[in-house]
Parts: sequence; C-alpha cells; structure tokens
Amino acid sequence: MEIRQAAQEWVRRILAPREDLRWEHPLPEAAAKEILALKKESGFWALSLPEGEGGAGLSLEEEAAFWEEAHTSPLGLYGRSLLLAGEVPFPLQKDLSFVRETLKEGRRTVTWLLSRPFQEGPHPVLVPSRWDWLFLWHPAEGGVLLSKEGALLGKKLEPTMGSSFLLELRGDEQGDTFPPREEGDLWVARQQILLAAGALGAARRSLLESLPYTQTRQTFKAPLSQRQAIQWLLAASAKEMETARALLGQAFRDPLSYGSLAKAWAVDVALRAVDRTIQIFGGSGYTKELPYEEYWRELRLYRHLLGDHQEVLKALGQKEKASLLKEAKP
Amino acid sequence: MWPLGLYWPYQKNSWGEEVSLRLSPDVERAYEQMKAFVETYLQPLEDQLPPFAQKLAPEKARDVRRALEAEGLVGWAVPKDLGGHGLGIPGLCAAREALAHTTLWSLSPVLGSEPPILLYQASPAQKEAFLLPTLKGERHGAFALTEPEAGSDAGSLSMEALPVEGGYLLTGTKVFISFVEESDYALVFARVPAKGVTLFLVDLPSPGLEIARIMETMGGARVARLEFQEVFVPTERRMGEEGEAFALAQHWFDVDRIALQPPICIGASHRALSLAAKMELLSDEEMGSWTLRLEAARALMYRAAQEAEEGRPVRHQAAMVKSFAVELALSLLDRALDLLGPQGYSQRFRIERYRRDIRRFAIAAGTLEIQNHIIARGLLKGYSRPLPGEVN
Repeated sequence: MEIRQAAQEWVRRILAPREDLRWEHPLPEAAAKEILALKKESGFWALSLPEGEGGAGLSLEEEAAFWEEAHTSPLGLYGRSLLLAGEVPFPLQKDLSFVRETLKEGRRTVTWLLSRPFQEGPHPVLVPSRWDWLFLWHPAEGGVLLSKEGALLGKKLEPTMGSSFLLELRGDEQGDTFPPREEGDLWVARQQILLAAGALGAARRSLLESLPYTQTRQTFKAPLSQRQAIQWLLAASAKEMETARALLGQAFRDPLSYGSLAKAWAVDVALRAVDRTIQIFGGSGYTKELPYEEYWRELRLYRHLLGDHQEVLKALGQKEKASLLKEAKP
Repeated sequence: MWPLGLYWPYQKNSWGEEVSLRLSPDVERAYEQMKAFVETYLQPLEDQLPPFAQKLAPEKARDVRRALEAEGLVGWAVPKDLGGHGLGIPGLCAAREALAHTTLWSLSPVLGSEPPILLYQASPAQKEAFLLPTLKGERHGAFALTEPEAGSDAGSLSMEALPVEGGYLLTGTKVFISFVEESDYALVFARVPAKGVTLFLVDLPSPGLEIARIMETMGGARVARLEFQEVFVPTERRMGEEGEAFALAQHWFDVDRIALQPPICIGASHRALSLAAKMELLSDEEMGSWTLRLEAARALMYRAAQEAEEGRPVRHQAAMVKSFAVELALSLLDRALDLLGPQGYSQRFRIERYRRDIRRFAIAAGTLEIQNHIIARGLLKGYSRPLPGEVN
C-alpha cells in the first residue's frame, strides 16, 4: 500500500530524528509547530476529508495504516496531539467554516464518547497535551461541540501519568449541539479503529526492537533468545498481535459492530506486548532512555478513550447474553 | 527491517464485502446447518456417551452416519468432484465449530468423512484404496507418528523401514495412537536407512503388527501402543518418495493446527458461554471479556483457514491459532467449572467432559510449548509472511 510506505518515510524523515523531544512535556511550541507544518506539507492532513474538499481522501484502511506507522514513534501517540491536528470529526465536515479553520490552522478537535447524556454530568474527560475543540458524542443523545475556552471555564486541568490531562466537565457548558445520527456513530467507530491500529504500531515496534536485543544480550554465556522464558514472551506478543489484526480486519468490514471490540482488544494486546518488552530489556526498559515505558503510560489512556474499556465489555456482554439466550432452546 | 507479516490486514478491498467472521455466506451456511443438526440430533444422544470413551453403540453410530449423509452434512472440505461440498479449510472449520456444540464431537462416524488432506496427495491407486472408501465412511485411518522417545521432537523417530524385495519391513513402536480400534489402516512414519523418514499406508491388522495396549485417558480418547515386528508393506503402499514424509505432511500438520482443534475449542467455549448466560453465572463485563477473546480467536482462525486454502504458507499462523484457541478454551472451561461449583464437577452440565477432552489439545498434535517455539523461532529468524499475491 502506497500510503504505508509514505507514512513510513514520513516517520523516518520527520518523527524519528526528533524522538528526543519525547522527554519534553508538552512539546515545545516551536517544535510542535514545525512538525505540524511538515505534516501538512507531506499531505497527511484532513485524512478522511474528500480530496475535493481539501482533504487527503484516504480510505479507512489507509488512514489506519498511517496511524499505525505514526505510532511507531512515541511522538505519534494520541496524547501528543499531532495526529489530531487538521482532522475534522465527521459530523462537523458539513460545517464549512469549521473545516476551513481546521485545514488552515491545524485545529485539534478531541472526540470523546460519553457514557451518559451530556446534561447528566459530571464527565471526567482526558484531553491530550494540546487541543482546541472538544467534540462529545453520545449515540442516543447526539453531540456537543465545546471550544477550549468554553470547556475550561472555571476549571483546571489535572496532570495524569501520561502527557494528557484530566478535565471534569459539569454538563452545563455551552456549545453547539448535533442530533444523534449514524454518521456520528460511524465517526466514533472509525476513531476506535484508528486507535486499534495505532496501538498495534506501538506494539509492533516494541516487539520487533526486542528481537535483536535478545539475540545479542548474553546471560550465562548464551544469548537471551535461546532462553525459553524469553522466547515465550516473544511468542505471546506475536500471537496476540495476530489475533488483534484479525479482529481489526473484521472491523474494517463492519466498523459499527466491531470497532469497539477491535480497539478494546488491540489496546490490551499492545499494553501487554509493551510490558513484555519492558521486561525483556530489564532495567533499561524501565528507564526513560528507551521509549517503552512511555508507550505503556500513554497507551494506558487508550483504555478509556472512545469507549471506556469497562463500558465496552459491559455492552458486549449484555449483547452476547441476549444473543445466547435467544439462540438457546427453550 | 520489520517483517512484512506484521502489516496485514490493510490491503484495500482484498477481503470482499462479507461481514461474517466466517468470511463467506456458504461457510456461514455450513455452520448453521451443522449446528441445527447437532442441536436436534446429536445433543439428545449425549447421555449415551460413556465418560471415558468416544463412541456410541454400533447401531446408534450407524444411525448417526446415515442421518448425516441424508442431510448432506459430510465432506465439507472434500472437493466437489469427489462428491463433497468443496468449502475447503474454512468450511471444515465452520462445520467443526458447530460440531463442538456436542460432546459427541469426536465421534468417529462424524470425523471419518473428512480424511486427512494428506491423502489427496496419494497416488491414483492409493486414492482408490484409501481415500475414496474413507470419503464414503467405509474405511477409517489412524495416524501413527509418535514413539516412546519421539513426541514433540518427531524428527528423531526410530521406527525402521528396511527395504526388501517388493517393499519394506517395518519394525518399532508407536504410542498414543488415537482411533486404532475404529480404524482399518494407519498412516505410519518410519525411517528408511540412509534415506530418511518415509510415509506408509499400513492395513490394520497386518501380520507382525500388534495392538500391545489400549490406554484410557482423562478424556474420551483411547490411545494405543502399536508394536511392529517386521511388518511387510509393499512398495505401492509407500506415499511419495523415500525420505519425503515430513515434506509431504508439513502442510497437513499446519492445516490441522488450524482446522482440527481450534474450531472445537471455539465451539465448546461458545457452548459454555451459552450455559453461563442461561444460568446467569457471569457479570456483563466478564461475559464481554470472554466474548472479546472468543471473537479474536474466531477472527484469526477463519483468516488463517482462508490463507491456508489459498495455498499460502501458514506455519506460524497455525501455531498462533492453535495455542491461542486451546489456552482460551481451557481457561474458559475452568472458569465455568469454578462458577458451577460441585454441580460443575458432576456430569450434569458436561462442562467437565469438555474440559477433560480438550486438555488433550495442549499436548496432542504439537504441544503448546512447541507452538510457542515455532512462533518465537520464526520471529527470531526474521520470518515474514507474504502479503496476498506475493510469494514467500
């Protein structure tokens, strides 16, 4: 896929040389601006917006491939906001002035899935290090779009274990509202799929970088890779990642049914894979010298993003129970 | 460079439009038909299954076979020109996934109609003598590879096949061989001096071949110890060339790791979850958590089955499917047993039976440790799985 190669090239040329910036929280303004300008210049801008409307017009598969590749650098993680810049949430794509501003200024709009109607706050929301707008979506109630100023009024952001912040919305903030529509649900499912692909990108880098290390690191006069205790860790990660990819493939075909499943599973698989890599690298893995500890801290956020993990499992469990009882003979 | 195999499934439009995890409407239908048969015909017979055997009274077994044939529910993976459904490996997975909704899943009349795909590589005369009657349910084959000193390390087997005029003399011991009592031939792996491991089709019984012992197991399987003392096998019963056994059988081993045990694990897990839903054993979240893992296993199995069907190398994927599905089923069945308490330990809900049967999968046809070994070795060698349309 051409997009994959272009995305790899983009990561190699733009993100990889700047990887030391990961020690800075948030990214220095100048560096963030420079990266965004380069992102725009490379055409990775408004990825899902049709080409005729100033976007890149990528298919979901292509956009996911970009997210996966971008996640092979910690700078591409969600909390860093780089991937959000220049993207227009689907239900807002008809709002031409919003689209124009987004395309021009690289607006960052955070999508957050509400588990109960907005008015029934409070809602603990995790926002990335830099953002401009907050788009809150509830499948039955529709959406609310809040500007950063409107959302923050009278509140403060609380730090987290990663580069994101906790913001507690009361539910009485003023913003534009949107009626419930399938395209809103589809946007959420799309974002879930992108997060799944991103998580797998981080997992892939973690697993693959541990391979040469296990082959060169000697313990008791043999490389780590000859130890079954280590081989088992590698096999477990590879196996789980393959299942997550299979589920991701299913989500591409049926985003509304499988998007949340693909995300929940891929994120968990990635967290475990990254954790195994930290274990394989030992003390070095635990330090910030290597990117894996950051991957773990940042990916942990994905469990709450766009479908809190517990909520996804609960909904899936309810649906499955109903289906199993229906199929069971009386 | 990163292995290519870690990049799927992004190819645009490469998967068609179907939504079912089973990947095609025909395969989905195979699942539904088989499941309906299992529920109406096989589940009511479960009480007749002895706790430590996998057989019914002979007349009942014949009835099962007749009913299966009457409903057209045999030969899912058998090519159409041989009278089968031609649904390939995904079809076999679907039929077996449905079949696993009964503890009778390994009943030989049901299994017998899907011969090892290895037999399709046999010579025309061998096909006439073994493959075709097997398809009709008239013959059954056993598979004799394991030896007392060669289990996971099958390549170190020591049974000797000494060339003599017109054939070979086989001498040695095979152990843990399933379905010997039901079979009238066996696929036997033996070593031709200076040539290597070779595959033979051996009639059961044959002069010099003794069933030395039948061992009961913790599940329904009964396994045999076979003693070969200069058993004569004519040259025309040799499959392929001398020393070619593993080259011939490797694809079959891989396919078996996708299509034999994993669908049973997935179907049995599904049935256990049905019971849990009916008895309100699980919270919504725990039900969701098991369902998620089950869907992941299903997605991988059908994907791997499809790739195997398209002739792509699936060695590493097969190892992943097998170990993921077996571990999932064992842990889910354990959980169900825990939740059912003393009733679960009893034979009332049949979860104990599934748990005892499926424990074998962690050992038979490649232990879980061997699967991990295959995956890790592949990774460390920089194994890369080709994208569709590419050649490995």
